[in-house]
Amino acid sequence: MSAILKIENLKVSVGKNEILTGLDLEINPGEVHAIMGPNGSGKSTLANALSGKPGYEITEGKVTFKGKNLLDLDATERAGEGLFLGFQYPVEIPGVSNLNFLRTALNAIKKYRGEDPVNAAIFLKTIREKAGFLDMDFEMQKRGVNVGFSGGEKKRNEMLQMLMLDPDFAVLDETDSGLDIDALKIVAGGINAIRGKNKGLLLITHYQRLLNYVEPDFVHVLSKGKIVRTGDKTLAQELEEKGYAEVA
Amino acid sequence: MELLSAYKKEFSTLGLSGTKALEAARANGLDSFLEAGIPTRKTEDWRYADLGLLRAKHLKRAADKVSDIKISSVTGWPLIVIENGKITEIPKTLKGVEVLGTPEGLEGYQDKGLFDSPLERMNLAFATGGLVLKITRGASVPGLEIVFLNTSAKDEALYLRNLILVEEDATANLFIRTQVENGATWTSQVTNIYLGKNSKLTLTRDFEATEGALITARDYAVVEAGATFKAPSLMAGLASTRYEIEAELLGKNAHADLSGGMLAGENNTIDVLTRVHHVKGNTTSNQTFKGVAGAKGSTAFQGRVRVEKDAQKIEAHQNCHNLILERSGEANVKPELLIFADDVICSHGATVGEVDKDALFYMKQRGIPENEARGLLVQAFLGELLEGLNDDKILDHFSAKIKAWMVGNLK
Repeated sequence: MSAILKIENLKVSVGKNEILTGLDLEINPGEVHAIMGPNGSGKSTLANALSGKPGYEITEGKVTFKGKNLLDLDATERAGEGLFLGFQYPVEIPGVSNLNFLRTALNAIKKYRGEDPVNAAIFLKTIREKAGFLDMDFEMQKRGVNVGFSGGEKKRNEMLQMLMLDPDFAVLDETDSGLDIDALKIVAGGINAIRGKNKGLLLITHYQRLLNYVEPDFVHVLSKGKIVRTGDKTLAQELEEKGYAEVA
Repeated sequence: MELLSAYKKEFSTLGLSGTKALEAARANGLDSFLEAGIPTRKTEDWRYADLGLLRAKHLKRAADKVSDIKISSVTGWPLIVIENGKITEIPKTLKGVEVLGTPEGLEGYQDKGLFDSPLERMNLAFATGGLVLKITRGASVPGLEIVFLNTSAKDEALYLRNLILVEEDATANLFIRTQVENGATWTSQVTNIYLGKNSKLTLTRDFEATEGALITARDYAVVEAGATFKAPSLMAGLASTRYEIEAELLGKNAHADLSGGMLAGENNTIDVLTRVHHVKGNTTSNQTFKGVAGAKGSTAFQGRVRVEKDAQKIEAHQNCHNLILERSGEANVKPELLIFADDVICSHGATVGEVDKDALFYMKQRGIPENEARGLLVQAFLGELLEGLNDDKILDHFSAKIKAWMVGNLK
């Protein structure tokens, strides 16, 4: 079985600071990996570098996504190939409705893949269904992207976008932060819904609590820009009990 | 000086006739123009206007000939077409509307407006024709589309002078398009507007021109008590455009609402100057202008609100926001409030910025190509203006124009 995402010796700098200092990670289709680590360990840098955010300079290393060199592609192409980033801080875009945004995104991805645009009626039916599944008010989709959404609603909206775009691989950057327990369960339900045989998931989180609802196959501890320990879900519990200082 | 003498000489050969009063007004207009000369960037009010075409050479007064260009209505409303100053199309009957000919209609309506402009004086001297429209007392005109078509030749100037009278208690919705077919022509347009007591006028303006043309337009509205003047506009053509819009609020509950989209493409200057004058108390005004400058494009907004000493309890708001798409683009904003009363609510806001990089990345991460994402963001930026339009057909027309402009200006 070949990996869906393979990261080798990845070094990433932001400005003059080297944040990732040689990270290796291999994720196979169907696997859910969690990366945990203290503040400043490079978790969000990894997410941003993988998605092609400007300002994250790859100084060394290799990232292979579904057999292709990911680093050769720009952010739009990476999305077209099936990479999704769930944002830690989803952006508000006044004046562009969620519906318009999602339909434009979906059609752009389809165009990239040489597929026909989505049928408008089917699109609406699907988004209604998925919004219902995430316990979201469909009417909110008519508003500007994330405008007037609470922190929890923004995170659910990220999940809705993920379900609609149905990526092969999703990196979720602290999707659990700022959620109350009910919202956390709903978001976890969204994540579990795309968990499939050929998909890969990388959960970036501070805390173990999301992992009670989304069971990871592997847990990694990130420290100073490198993975310093890898284990199964029990590692997350161990971290919760003992803290990063002792475990990593 | 040579330029001015060429205009002086031209005027003397035109032999424009009319009533004594009109002749005197024209001669007076010419004198004032000759005295002041063609405005330069040294004068504050003209600092951002691109009058290059006008300064380069003498532009001959356009002949009143008619082309075979067929104009169709954008709105589906009754259509009046004025080509090179001459009415070429007009509905047989228009309930509540009287159309008077020019130059007869020019008599008695030679208002200078609030802003002393040599080009307005020049327009009076040389005015070829235009439209004099009266909306009769208590009438309701739900929609009337008026197209000023300029098919004059290169190096010509078309001087249009219009008058729109909305009588007491009348309501009218006008869509006025200025369409210029040839480059290197100047369209000079002065429109005096009068709103009688408790009348309502929405005057939506669309400026459309070929590359290299110059449009200068002035709308001067006198708004009586209880009347509402709404004037949304879109300047997204290829011509350099100077648009002056003025409203004088003369009585209680008079209201003016001025708004516009200024889209400046390569080597284009879109220059808006507003004057809102609160003469009496309990009057309100709103100004919302949005500028988008592409590479080497330039937008300017010089907005002024003046509140007279007796004009207590007025409310005036002024906003101009600008988006610069390329670093070579330029936005100039100068909001001014002159307040002589003490019990007023006035505000102004001005911003200049670039496309939100975080929003751009968010959209790209969702698979939307950069150009499409930037296009969506520009459209969102202009959204507030579009939402304010009171007709879906005009909204579609403006949206399509904005899209077309973006295709040409997003690289």
